Amino acid sequence: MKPFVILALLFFNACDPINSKFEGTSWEWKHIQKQPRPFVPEFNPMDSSKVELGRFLFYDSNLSANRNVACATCHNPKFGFGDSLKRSIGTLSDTLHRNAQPLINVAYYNTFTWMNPVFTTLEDQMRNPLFGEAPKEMGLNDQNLPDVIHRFLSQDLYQEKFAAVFPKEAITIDHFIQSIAAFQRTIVSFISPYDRFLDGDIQALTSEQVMGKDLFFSEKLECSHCHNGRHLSTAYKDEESRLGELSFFNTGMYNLDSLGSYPEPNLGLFEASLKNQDRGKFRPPTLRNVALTAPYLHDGSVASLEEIITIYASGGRNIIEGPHQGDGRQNPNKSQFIKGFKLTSQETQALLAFLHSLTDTTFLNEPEFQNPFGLL
Amino acid sequence: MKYLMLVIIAIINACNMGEKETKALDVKIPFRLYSGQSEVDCTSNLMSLSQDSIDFQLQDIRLFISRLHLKNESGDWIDVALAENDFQNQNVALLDFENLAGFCSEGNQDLNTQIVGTIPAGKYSGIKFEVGVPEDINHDEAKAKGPMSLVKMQWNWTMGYKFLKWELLNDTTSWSLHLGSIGCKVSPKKSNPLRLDRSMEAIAHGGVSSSVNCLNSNRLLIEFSNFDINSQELILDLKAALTGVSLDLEKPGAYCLSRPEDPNCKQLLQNFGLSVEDGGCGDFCQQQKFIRAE
Repeated sequence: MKPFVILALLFFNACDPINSKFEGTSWEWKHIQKQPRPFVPEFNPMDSSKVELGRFLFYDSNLSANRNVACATCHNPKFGFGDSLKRSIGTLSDTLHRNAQPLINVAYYNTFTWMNPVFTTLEDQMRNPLFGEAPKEMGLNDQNLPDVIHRFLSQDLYQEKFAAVFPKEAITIDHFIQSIAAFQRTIVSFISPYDRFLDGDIQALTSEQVMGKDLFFSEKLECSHCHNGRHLSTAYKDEESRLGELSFFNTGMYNLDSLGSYPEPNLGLFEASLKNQDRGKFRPPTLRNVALTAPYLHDGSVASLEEIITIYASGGRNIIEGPHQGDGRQNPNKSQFIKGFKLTSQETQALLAFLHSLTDTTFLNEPEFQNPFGLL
Repeated sequence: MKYLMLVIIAIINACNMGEKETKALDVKIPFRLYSGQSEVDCTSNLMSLSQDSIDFQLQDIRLFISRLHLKNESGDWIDVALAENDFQNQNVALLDFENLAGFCSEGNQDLNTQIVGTIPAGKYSGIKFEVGVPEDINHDEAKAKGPMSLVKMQWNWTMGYKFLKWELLNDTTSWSLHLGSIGCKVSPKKSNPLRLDRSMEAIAHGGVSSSVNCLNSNRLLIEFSNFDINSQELILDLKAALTGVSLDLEKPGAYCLSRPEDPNCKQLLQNFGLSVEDGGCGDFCQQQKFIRAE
């Protein structure tokens, strides 16, 4: 009898994780129709009051050392939850290393940041902007952390919200992180004109945009090897995903030496893996709202969509003078899919028109995602 | 049968008796911070510290020590069980020479310059330990207790810790060393198939729990086969660690972030007894210049 009971318990436990994912979840994504829901780590289930708390924290610049930078400063809904700078500026005026990533559908990435393969949740990643030292982003540290937390807990607004989401718990920075991550996971949209077209509304795209779409997914342009699926990035994971797949590519933007190095301080995946073949490899971003998120690339070194199309048409970027001189087209680590192509001006316009069909204005104006304190 | 039982009980008793007689010995290992032959602290001017003869002051210097062993009379290495206190947890100790004086601005006023613990009574004549956080704790946030909860010692981008955080400043420039395991990636971990892992990583990898593994360990292995625990101290010599190192402050990135190709990492890693290729110990560990016994 006893072995049977133990066996039965094992089975109960085995089934539990799948069920418990949905228990106590009082959140439903508004703009997800048929698509799978995003991955949510079990330790941080979705909850509408947590999402709301996270939204306040996301927009509150008290979360930075000098009270001048909120998450939303670099991830502003006006710019598709990115910013318009080449590289963002931290709380102590440090210029950060990389271009701020737009947060739309961020919950569907399998790894986080431009180059780091060990951040597999938003919660892992968030300690970097909060506590990172060189450069300083939000500028939190051991000394100012108690004061920063007090800035929030001394306000009735936050006292009530924290008590509602985390009753009887002593509030730490981890509760801030979990709440902000829960809010970020709601920034999801699958209702752009392109999505409506895929969902059967053939009027949603113009004939020019359809032509651009066909070019985008063609073997001639090869764009979709990195920007594939509904997510328009192969760095993808959802609640059903069973196999994680690392997705980092070198697109021939620099070539400083025989190893195909990219300029400091952005060496790409190599920084984490230490493997020479990973020099210059970065995670492909989703292209949703891409028309709003200029400048482009990890370092913001490409100003416009027209410019990036020209570069990819050439099979990479040849920099002929200056400190970054080098022919990116010859980069030894370059993806085989960046091989160059020829477009007529009509085709280029069609491709641009398609990229603009990925802009989702409903999403951008969604009140649930906006600054609860009014305009920043 | 009965006879056998009695024998077993007798043996158990004998063991218990033995344990009662073996009293634990308190161990206290003192560390001091030097630059060459002079003891230094946050207020000291560190003259001509590196090969380029640049003067500096400290901004921070803290390091994790783990796997502390002493050598007994039979030549066996015996674990020292570290006490739990503000600076010691899970057999890992943080040595902290930073006290907010001078240019030091990274930590708090408390110093910790010794490791305390216990070991079975006996005579001991050697010491060995690692500078680093053991791998089974290094990437486990749930175990970030005691000194591991200090966010400045956490190295978020590797999901691990800085084993040694050493930062220098002068009026015009700065230099820093963050030593820790690098080349890290997440990979699935073998687990008991009957027990579905419920951790977040497990879910991320479809029910198989995952772990972070790093190519370059960069843990210093320090060993002195002759060490008198009653009279000797361990000296951390900053100047010796920088023997032959050019701090190359003209170049962007005046730092060593444990990557062999950082401008002034290579010689420094060698001075720590680490292989430049893989951050392992190899034949190099006994050639380390950073720590000496006096």
